[in-house]
Amino acid sequence: MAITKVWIEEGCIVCNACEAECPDVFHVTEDSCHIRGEARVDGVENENKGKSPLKDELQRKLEDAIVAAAAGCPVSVIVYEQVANAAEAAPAAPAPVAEAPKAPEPVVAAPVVEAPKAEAPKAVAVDAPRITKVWIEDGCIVCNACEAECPDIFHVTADSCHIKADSRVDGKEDENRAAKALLKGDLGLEQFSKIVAAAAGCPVNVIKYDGTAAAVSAAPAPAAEVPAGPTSWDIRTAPNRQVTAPKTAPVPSFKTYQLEVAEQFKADEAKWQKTQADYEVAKQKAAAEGKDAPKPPVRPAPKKDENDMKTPFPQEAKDADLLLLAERLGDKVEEVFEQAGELVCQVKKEAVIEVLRLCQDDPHLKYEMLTDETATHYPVGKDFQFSVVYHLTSLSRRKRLRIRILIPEGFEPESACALYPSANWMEREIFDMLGIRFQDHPGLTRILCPEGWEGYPLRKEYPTLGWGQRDIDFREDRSGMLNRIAMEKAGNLGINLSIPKAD
Amino acid sequence: MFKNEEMEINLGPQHPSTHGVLRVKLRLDGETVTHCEPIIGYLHRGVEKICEDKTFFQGQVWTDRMDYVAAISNNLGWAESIEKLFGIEVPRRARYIRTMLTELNRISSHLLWLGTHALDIGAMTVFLYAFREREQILDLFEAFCGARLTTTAFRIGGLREDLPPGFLKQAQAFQDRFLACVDEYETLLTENRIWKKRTVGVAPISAEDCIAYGVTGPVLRAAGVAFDIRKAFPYAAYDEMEFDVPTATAADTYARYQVRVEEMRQSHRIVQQCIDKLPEGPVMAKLPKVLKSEVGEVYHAIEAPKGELGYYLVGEKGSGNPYRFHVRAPSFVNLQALPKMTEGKLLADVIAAIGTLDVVLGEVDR
Repeated sequence: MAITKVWIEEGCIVCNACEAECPDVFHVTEDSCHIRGEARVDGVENENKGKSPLKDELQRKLEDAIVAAAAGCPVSVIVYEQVANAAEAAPAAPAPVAEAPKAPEPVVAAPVVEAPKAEAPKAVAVDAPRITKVWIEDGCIVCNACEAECPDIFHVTADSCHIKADSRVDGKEDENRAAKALLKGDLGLEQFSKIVAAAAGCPVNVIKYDGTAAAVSAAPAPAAEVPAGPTSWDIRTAPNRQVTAPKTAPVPSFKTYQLEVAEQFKADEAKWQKTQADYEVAKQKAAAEGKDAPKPPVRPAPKKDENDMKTPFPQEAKDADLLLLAERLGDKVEEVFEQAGELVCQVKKEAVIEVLRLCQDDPHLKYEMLTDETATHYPVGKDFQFSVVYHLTSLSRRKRLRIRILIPEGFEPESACALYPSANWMEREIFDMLGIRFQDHPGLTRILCPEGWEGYPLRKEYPTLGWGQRDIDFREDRSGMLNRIAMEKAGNLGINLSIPKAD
Repeated sequence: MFKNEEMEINLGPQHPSTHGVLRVKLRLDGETVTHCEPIIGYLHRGVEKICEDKTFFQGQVWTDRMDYVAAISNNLGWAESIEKLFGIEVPRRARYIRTMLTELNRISSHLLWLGTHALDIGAMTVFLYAFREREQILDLFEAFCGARLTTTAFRIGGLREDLPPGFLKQAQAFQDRFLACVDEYETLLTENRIWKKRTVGVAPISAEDCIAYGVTGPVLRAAGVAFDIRKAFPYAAYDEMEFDVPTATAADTYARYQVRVEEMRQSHRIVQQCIDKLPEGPVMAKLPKVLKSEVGEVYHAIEAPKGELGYYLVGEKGSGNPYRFHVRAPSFVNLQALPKMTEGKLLADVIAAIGTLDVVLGEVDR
């Protein structure tokens, strides 16, 4: 597999996601995403509406990155052409015959894949899967699915599905139930996969076929019967209810923010140095070949946002309360910073009660009320799995303060109930939702979930639809009402939906 | 012949006076409550979990369904907390309209409280009058956003649309008659001997206990603490509004009644200022089409009719969903004080205490 061409359709929102994913190919400007000139055969940098191919050496190397960028594009404007590796497929022909009619590997993530199909060799082995006869059993509901799948064979009339006259040896058009006439020529071979798909897609399973042994064995096995009615789902086996675990542990912190900024600066600087070096090389090469010198590179200016958004990043602590806390508590404070006008003080997990007591008692602090206490699950945290935050409010001084501790799985912080009785239910809620136990809590039981509930719902590994949740299939038509309505409607339209009775 | 043992009874979960599915386990010595334990969770839907799976824009419909009596307040807290996380500045006109609608919502929430609370403790008539005015406010909401209760009124960065034509005229018509209506409720209750007998000195909770249990809102103000987030940490357009924070010192059910009635008058005052001073201009901030957050956490609280409604959000870098969405619901925290208010008092006062706390179970259980 390789990607030959990639281009950008109308509607880019300049979100930078693709450049982050694959910077060698994509370059996001102020208006739109461009395909870089250095990645293209024609060397021009624009949206590549002309569909110039990618350079040969990049076609396979960057395939994964381009596919990921296209899948990650929020407006799906990245389009590419992907081929089943022509270089490998061509010399290997004739390909193994049994595999020949299969479509090229489907690429789910790509919005548009214009992959040329690998040409199946015409030489046919005797044991290739071939369908000889197709017929329709009793009970067709005239749903048109088969005709959509394989219009060369099936034709759906008002009463039933028919096998087309021009596909049959006997030249008649009907259900082909009694005669079971053979299919003409090579139709059974060419249309093999389509017929199998149509038969599998028939909602009432009335499409039957016969053929060579290979064809019959290649047919998919019928799906196991699913018992109808209200069922109790087990989330661990239901694939549509799996959760995706978070990749990062977003704990805002001034220190990490500073590191990130420094790293970003270094990366930008390195990129700029490289661009300049590349330019020098290109200039010398052009001079040696006697061509015009290439345009000198321009350092990209930082992107300006034309909107009313100013992201509040963590800032250095300047507030007197934070400085006082840092001074009083010494090394018990891990970090103090401000973000979005809020004061944050991260302390050692063992010292949290001492800190809270200081906040409550100190005449310069006087945080009388514990407004909120909650926790967050960080499954990929480095040496912690949870953060517990305490939001304190000083009614007299009109101030708020956030105390934060980071704790590993199994650590039991001390309960704040003795200092702030309001922590009672809040800690019960944290225990109920995240499974963090608090030492010396007067009655740590579940509060919102029933007793004996399995799992802790706000942990990231817990699916949105809970374990053991009852799932009632509302489509189930117990009284037959929906069926009756459908029959009546069809009758009004002159369509016969009723299943003919067997003799 | 006389038994001395204590009796344990369950009040609720299906009981008209609990305003939803709240179960209170009571131990009684005769008619005196010796132990009271509220049991909640019957309406738990996991809003916090669900919102982690929704984008920032989609979360709003869930906030409607927490305090369904004051959905617009919830919408405001939700919108402002996300705006704080992203650092979005909302246009002034949008802030004024938000303030006006939120104050109208406060009036409607207090009217519902007044009607049902009076109904609980035996005054039938007020209910009918209170719902008459509430209906008018809900009509205004319907004119603004098409819904009466689950409003989904705001958008991140402002409003979806400006006020519909004629809205201000209708709002002014409501304003013109509302103060007389409040006086009408007061003639029915304030000096009513039976009402006073059922409320004065009933379900008291001191200021110290309120602060210790995190109780906020009218209950805290009726204990003499003039703490109102609209004044303490102004949001929306409250820094440009003139209003008083009504307080009382008796800290009982009657004092809370007085505070809430006075709050309705103050809300009326704020709405009037919003109508008079409504600035021109856009109602929506300029935003990118896709909101992707940076690493950050915010806690933003507003003064909901029931007390401090706070939203705690954690943003993950490059993610369109909140990493963590937590609601500090005023009813949840206030309900914790119920045992403190009722233990040692009469059984009949438990009903008054639940009513005076003004809890909404959709918000308690989330």
